[in-house]
Amino acid sequence: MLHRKMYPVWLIVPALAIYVIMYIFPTASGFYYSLTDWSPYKDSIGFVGFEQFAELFKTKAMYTAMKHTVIYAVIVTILQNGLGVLLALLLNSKLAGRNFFRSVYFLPCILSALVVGYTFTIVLHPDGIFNQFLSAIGLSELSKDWLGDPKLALYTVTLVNVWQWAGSSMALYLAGLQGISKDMLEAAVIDGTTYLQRLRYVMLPILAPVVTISVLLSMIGSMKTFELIYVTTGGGPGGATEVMNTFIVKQFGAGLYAYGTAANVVLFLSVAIVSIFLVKLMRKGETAE
Amino acid sequence: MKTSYGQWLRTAVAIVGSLVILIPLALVFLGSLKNSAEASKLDLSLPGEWLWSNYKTVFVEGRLLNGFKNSAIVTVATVALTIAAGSMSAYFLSRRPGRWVQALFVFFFAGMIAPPSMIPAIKLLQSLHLSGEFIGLILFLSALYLPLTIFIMSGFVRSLPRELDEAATIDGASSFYTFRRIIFPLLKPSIATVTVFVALYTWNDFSNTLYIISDSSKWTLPFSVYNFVSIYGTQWQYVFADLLSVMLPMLIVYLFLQRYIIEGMTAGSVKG
Repeated sequence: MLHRKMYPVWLIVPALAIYVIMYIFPTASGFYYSLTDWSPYKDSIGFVGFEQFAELFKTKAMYTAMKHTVIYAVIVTILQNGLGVLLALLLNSKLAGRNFFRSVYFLPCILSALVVGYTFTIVLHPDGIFNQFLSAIGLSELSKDWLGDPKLALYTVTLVNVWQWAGSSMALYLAGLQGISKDMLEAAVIDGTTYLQRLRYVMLPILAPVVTISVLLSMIGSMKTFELIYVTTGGGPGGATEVMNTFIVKQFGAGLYAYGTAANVVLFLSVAIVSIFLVKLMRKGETAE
Repeated sequence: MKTSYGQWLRTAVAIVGSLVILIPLALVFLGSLKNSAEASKLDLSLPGEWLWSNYKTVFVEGRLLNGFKNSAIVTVATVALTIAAGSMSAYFLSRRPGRWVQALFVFFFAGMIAPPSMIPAIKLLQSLHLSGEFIGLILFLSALYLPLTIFIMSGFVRSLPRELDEAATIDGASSFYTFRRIIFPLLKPSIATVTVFVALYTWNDFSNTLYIISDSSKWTLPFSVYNFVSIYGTQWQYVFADLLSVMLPMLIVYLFLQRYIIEGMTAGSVKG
């Protein structure tokens, strides 16, 4: 058994220890705590079964938070990937200063969500430059309190999220497009295809796996969204932008540890189910091409 | 080559897109140099007098140096730990045969999808006496980023020929020597990728740090803004200056290493 000597088990021990202790254990114990009455005001932790979940599914605020999370994730995923593909196609064509544009579009991805959030509370302030711009081009009746209007706030934050992350999708798609061989595209040109035909029958099938990854990443990322909402609206006004993660944080803040942990389990399962479902669905789409 | 209308149109679209990205940043930059009255207009005008002294105020009041130092400690340690532990296990997981090794790989993979459970994590850190300490935060963040690290590095180890390990072993090298002196140096490109994304995520982390670190003297750089806005909420020129100061280290690094950062982040997410 030379393998045992060449690749001894201790090689994996540090990573496994950190991962199991710091990630798996809290997650697993979270499942347990969600079945208890754990709270900072009690000395002991008692087992109560699915009581917290029963309570949770009776709460209207949880459904609202779930609904907002889904709306947020779907809009962000569609816009971020749509815009990402368009920007990638734009920068993959003949264009002066391509590298400059690529760097600029990617730039927001390196900033902290906190910084982006605060910058946009200023940009979208009722007296901020966005409304100033609208009145300058004669559309002053369109100016709104973008983050303060309960009907708009959630959609406004999705756009801020897209502003920050569209460049990341673009970079993914651009890497995919640059992997397409020039010969194949030239052959298609000689065959007399139009740009749209080449897009549909040559580029998109090759991009399909990248689409899977990019859609999955933005979906998972935006279901777990927290910082941007916490900074821009804090879940308000009046709960209009409350998503699962801000809801969970509020429960913890109120000392409802077991209840908050149960909500976290719900989020955990939703993310896992959506991921598995999306991967299955998109695999099917890939092979159908 | 003749410039076509299409090309002009594309350039125009690209420029408009860049303005959408750059104008909010220009607003922050210009606002940070104005006096209180000018800054409160929240517009794009040039400052009447360029008040670089705003930065001095922010630097002291925002305790930027302390935040920078804390961010640097946490980021360097998290990157070092994930790379050391991650490369060793990537080497093990992609070389050693066996079903249980495959199962372990899948086990790590799970960590890339699901959100961590924060309150149980804090309870654990408290019982280990690591809550509120840098070391607790560093270990927690490492656990979060290890799965992706292992995933990227395993793909890379598999591209290295097995004959390397075998030749080294036959020549009498120990397993640690083989890994440390032969395999690890060859992993450089994947180390660069991992460094980029772990460093970026750690440097920009807010929510995990918010949960784990409660002592404000241990807060990382992004918290300076968080703290500042609550105290100087309407003194816009200071808020602007603080925002830019927090962005600045990342912007400088990006200016010089943008190619590697874009490639690293893209590779990081493609493999993930």
